[in-house]
Amino acid sequence: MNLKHTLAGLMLLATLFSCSKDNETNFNADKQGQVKLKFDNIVGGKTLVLSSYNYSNGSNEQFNIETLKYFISNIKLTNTKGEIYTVPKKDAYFLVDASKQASLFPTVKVPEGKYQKLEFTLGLDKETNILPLEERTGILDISANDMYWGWNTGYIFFKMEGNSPVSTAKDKKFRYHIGLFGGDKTPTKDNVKVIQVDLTAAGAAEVKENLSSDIHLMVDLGKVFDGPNKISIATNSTVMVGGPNDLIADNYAGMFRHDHTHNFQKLSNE
Amino acid sequence: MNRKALLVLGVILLTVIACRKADDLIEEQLLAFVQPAHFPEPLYKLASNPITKEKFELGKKLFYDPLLSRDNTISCGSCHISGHAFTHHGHDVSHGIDDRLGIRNSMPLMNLAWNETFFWDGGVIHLDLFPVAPIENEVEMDEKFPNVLKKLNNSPEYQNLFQKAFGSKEITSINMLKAMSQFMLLMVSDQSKYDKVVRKEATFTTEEAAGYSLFKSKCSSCHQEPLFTDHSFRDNGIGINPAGDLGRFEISQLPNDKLKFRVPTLRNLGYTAPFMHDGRFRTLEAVITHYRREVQATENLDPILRENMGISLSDLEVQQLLAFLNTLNDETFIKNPLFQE
Repeated sequence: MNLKHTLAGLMLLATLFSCSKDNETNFNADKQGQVKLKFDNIVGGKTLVLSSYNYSNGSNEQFNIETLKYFISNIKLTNTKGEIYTVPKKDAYFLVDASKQASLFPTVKVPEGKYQKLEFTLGLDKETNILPLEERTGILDISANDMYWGWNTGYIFFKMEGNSPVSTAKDKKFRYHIGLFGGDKTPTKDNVKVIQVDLTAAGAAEVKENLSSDIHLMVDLGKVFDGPNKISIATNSTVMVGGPNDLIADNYAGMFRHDHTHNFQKLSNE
Repeated sequence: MNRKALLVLGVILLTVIACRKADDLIEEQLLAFVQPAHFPEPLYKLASNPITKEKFELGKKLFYDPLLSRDNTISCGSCHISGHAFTHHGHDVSHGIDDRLGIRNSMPLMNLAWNETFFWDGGVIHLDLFPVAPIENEVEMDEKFPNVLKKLNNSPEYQNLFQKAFGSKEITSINMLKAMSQFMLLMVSDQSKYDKVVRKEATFTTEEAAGYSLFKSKCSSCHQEPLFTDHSFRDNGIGINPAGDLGRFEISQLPNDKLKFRVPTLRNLGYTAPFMHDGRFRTLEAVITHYRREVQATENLDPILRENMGISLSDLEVQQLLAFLNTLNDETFIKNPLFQE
């Protein structure tokens, strides 16, 4: 066999391999693999370090962040055939808490396949907010996490607190506690946000049994102040049930960006 | 001992045993939720929290325990007094911890199994979730709910009582609140003269009957029988108070909810003065005067009141209406030792 033949043979082999890698028939939808959502919290382009780094917003206000927590729920993935897989509701409640490293990487089980779209709820939907007491266990326990309003039935979806010299609060803190699920029998404001992330540009999630597909999301908290709406700490130092909570929710709905995906990762215990 | 004496003794013994049994039966009956025949089905799902003596007694102990407050001084019973249909009688707004004043008149507690929402603004949507609000309110008990659970879990007495009631000495948000609901669920007021008339056990006087027909034509669209509320939120034109309390708006943040408050029941009005969400009316007469002459054209004034800017009533009709409203007082309820500390 001469060199030319060898080369042709190699090329053929390479083509075969590359084809098989993309071939969907390799996925067995009866088997499940892991999807890990990596929430990488940043402010603008700067890493979030609680109670340490100094940040600034578009209104030229300086601040730091002491507390950052948000609920993620109702996780759905759409594969390249357009089929939607919904993670069982009870397995898809997560509280991302910047002070707890393990909470930043929630994992779910998903049938094998190649997924090009990720959807989740930032916050908790009405169904969850009106659950009977006996079903409010784990992270939904109303006495856990400090993410529940006792006087206005409902969970706090997103909580960010920090210090800023421009705050009008006596202790110079700003406090954003955003909730309101639309009300039970009588309506209220509705700040439940469904987030859709297109994975095609930065890498689809390829899920295989005994392996993990790690979807890395950048979460830019700077968007809380500088999204479609301008939020100033001096004007709004405290926003909870009162104040422009809907404007803040509209802003943070746009803070998630897909950065990259690591497919076929070995399962670890991190 | 002859046969006759033996027989007499036997009869006495039997009677004693029968009496014991009857006593037990009465207790069992008192500790069950009894559905009044003329009331609708309760909204509370009783199957989710079956009443037992141990759980009820535990709920009662918690209701009267100041441990629920930050400095262990205020209990639920401090502002919800059984003899006044569980209101803070004589106070326009409730007095909480450190004598701090709230901005709202503490609501009476009764017939809670039929409530769609709780509080003047309907902020809480279920009885099981209700106690957390006054515990955490800084002008009421000013305590953190997780801290209440910690204090309870540190108490051997409570551990023992929860073990007996729930089969676990671990005190959680779930079993603690379920026990409290049991105590409040049994607060059923259905023994007023009105109830007896409905059950055909009594009859109205001529004056009361005239008042009842006035009530049905002028009041019952909001204060619907038999609970005397339609559970809705309405602006009755009393206008904003100095505290700037916007009612339902504080919960919903929807502009058309400004100054709307929950339509309260009219039961037990004789024990629950003062009236309205801020207790501004000291007497029932003052409330009726408001509807006759003082209704303000607020932004969200209820359309029913806007029509005639109030309710027209003659002096005689006022007396008749008051006579009827008096028939809604339930003395059996407010004197029931089952609810007393």
